[in-house]
Amino acid sequence: MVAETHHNSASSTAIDSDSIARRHVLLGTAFLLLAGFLTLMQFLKGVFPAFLDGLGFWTYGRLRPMATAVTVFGWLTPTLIGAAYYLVPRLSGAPLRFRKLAAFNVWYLAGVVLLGTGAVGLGAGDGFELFEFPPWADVLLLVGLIVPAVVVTATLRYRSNVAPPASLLYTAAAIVWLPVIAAVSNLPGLNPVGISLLSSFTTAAVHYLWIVGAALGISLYLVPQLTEQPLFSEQTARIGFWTLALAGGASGYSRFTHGPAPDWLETTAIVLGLVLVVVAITAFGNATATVGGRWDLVQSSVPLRFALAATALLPVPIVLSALAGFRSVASIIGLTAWWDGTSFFLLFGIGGWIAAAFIYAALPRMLGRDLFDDHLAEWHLRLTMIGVMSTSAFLWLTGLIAGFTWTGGTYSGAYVNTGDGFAQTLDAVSLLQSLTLVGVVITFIGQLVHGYVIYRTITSGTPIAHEILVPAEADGE
Amino acid sequence: MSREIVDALAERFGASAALIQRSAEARASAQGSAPEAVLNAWAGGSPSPAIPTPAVAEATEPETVTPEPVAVEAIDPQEPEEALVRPEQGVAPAEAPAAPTPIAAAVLPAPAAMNEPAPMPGGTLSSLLLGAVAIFAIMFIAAVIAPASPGNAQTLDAVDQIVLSAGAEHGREVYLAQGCAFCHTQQVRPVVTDADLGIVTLSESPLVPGLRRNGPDLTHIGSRQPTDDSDWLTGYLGDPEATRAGRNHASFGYLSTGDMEDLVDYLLESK
Repeated sequence: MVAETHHNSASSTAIDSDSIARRHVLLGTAFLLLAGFLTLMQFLKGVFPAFLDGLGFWTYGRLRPMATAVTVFGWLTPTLIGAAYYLVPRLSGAPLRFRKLAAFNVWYLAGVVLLGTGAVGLGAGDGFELFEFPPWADVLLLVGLIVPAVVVTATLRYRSNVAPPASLLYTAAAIVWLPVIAAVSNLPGLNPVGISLLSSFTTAAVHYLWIVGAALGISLYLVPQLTEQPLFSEQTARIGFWTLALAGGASGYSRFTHGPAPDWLETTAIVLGLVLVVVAITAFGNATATVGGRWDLVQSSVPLRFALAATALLPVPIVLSALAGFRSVASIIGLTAWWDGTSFFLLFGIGGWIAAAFIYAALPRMLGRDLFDDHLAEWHLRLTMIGVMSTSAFLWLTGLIAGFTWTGGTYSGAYVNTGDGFAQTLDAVSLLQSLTLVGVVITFIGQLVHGYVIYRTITSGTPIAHEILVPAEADGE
Repeated sequence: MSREIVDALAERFGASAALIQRSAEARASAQGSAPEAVLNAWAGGSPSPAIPTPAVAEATEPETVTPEPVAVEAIDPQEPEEALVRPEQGVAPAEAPAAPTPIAAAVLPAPAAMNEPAPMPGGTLSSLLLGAVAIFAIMFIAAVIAPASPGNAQTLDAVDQIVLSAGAEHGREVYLAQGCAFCHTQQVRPVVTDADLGIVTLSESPLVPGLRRNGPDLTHIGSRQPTDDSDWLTGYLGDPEATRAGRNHASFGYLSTGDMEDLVDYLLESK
């Protein structure tokens, strides 16, 4: 093995792990633009259902699952997998195993997501969030999600450290949880209520165990790296991890409070929703304590600001979800846009910011090029911060007002929440729905800026020395 | 520690001085020597002498050198050559002498260990991952399997359970595939808000509960007027604007006749 001088291209015949991570990240970014567009169209159709009416794939009922699938499995999943492929060799001291398989899986995942999303668009979706692909596509997706778990666990068998750092624990567990969640998402033999309960469980599991779990793994790696400070507390991070493992899935039943589920299950979900707050507190506390006296770096490092934004704001969706589970609160905001606000914040906020933090920190090293423009990256942060927070805030407000309006109609007897009566309640939130759309547009502009920064970094970034890990030729394959 | 040596090493390895210092301390702690000796050795001086320490103390040392993310990244410039070799910095001459490995050795295994990969037997991480999956499995059984068991079924003998016809069963699939459940619920809750919507929905309902109410609840749509009329429903779903202007509902006129009929059957049987 010889040391090579690289500037712009990796000439090694072997596939290095950073190259595989880079492919995942670039695929995720391409899907981000599609996800942003579909999400924008989804909200547009939510406000104007008759806009470009008469096309099956263009109805709100199909656009929404298409947008969700592309967001979760097209954008966030490949990006977080790429981050795992970047982090695991560095944290474990072992070269990535099965690199050819991992490299092939990039294209496989892309194909499956396009096929599955296309099938949903053509009216073959199963209608239950989050795994709404038709069964055959869900099976293909499962295979694509098993591969990263196999690659990571196989790599970890050759790790050099017995006691893994918390960031490795979060990352590896998230990668392993994902295919398990996907595997149980299509459990047969359930009636529609049972499938809906299962859907709530798996959706929460994907949000918390996969996206938040991987995000915290990245954050626990990046924040110490970028601040050049050791992690404040491994033990605190581990407490957060086990809390996440316990509460990540079943807390999702909070959406079913007052619904057709056993009362004990509702109570369990409410308690676990509160337990999940521990995850947010530990993550927030650890990140801020790690930064310690180096807040000056926050001003100068865009990826650090993204990472801290994701970590510091994680309590917001978690606390609001926990609140929404309470029976008294759920009787008002249950079944309203409140939950959409929380999901939007988790996916485009927490997930999006941590993905951006990783990309802005690691992509220059993986590409051998400096980031094209820090100022544009900063604008990405500002726009998505404004867009995501305003969108979610308007959705939460929409939920509150809608809930009170429905309740008010029943109390006063002025209208019934069906037919024309329900149409009256929509008038009360029409302005907020339009404002929500503005927030989504701002978010999308921020995403376009992100895509532009990455594109220009690839094509016009100033060459720097590679910092990729080049594997030994016979190693790992 | 000598600041000059630390700075020189920092420049040589392309890492921050703080990281070099911490790595030296970790290495010194691991091998029982003084940090200054480690730094001298890295700078090309004599090897750092090991301070004899009791065997028990050595056995407990690995905890102190557990690589934090910072430490691991700090050794990136000095990856073990035969396993993970990072190309040199662009400005460095290709024939530069092989860089010493002290920092790497402090936090990464010796090259030989990675060059002859041997799976770690079990170990903490495997146990932790297994534990994480086991917790998921337990929660899944408790929260998904158990509620679906017959003992948890909610039924009211006094209320006739809806039994869907074959056409309506297919209509339910159309309802799901078109994403109707993303805007309409079919669950009436025991709360004031839903007091006018009809009988509360129980767990054995064959209808799709849904989780979002952008439009009105459809649990008992088949027993309300004018939606209890097949022709009216077909007309409304096919061309909402013509049937009820200003309602702002998507048109489903693109559905095949069979799918539309089954969808209408499903809605009519939702009583």
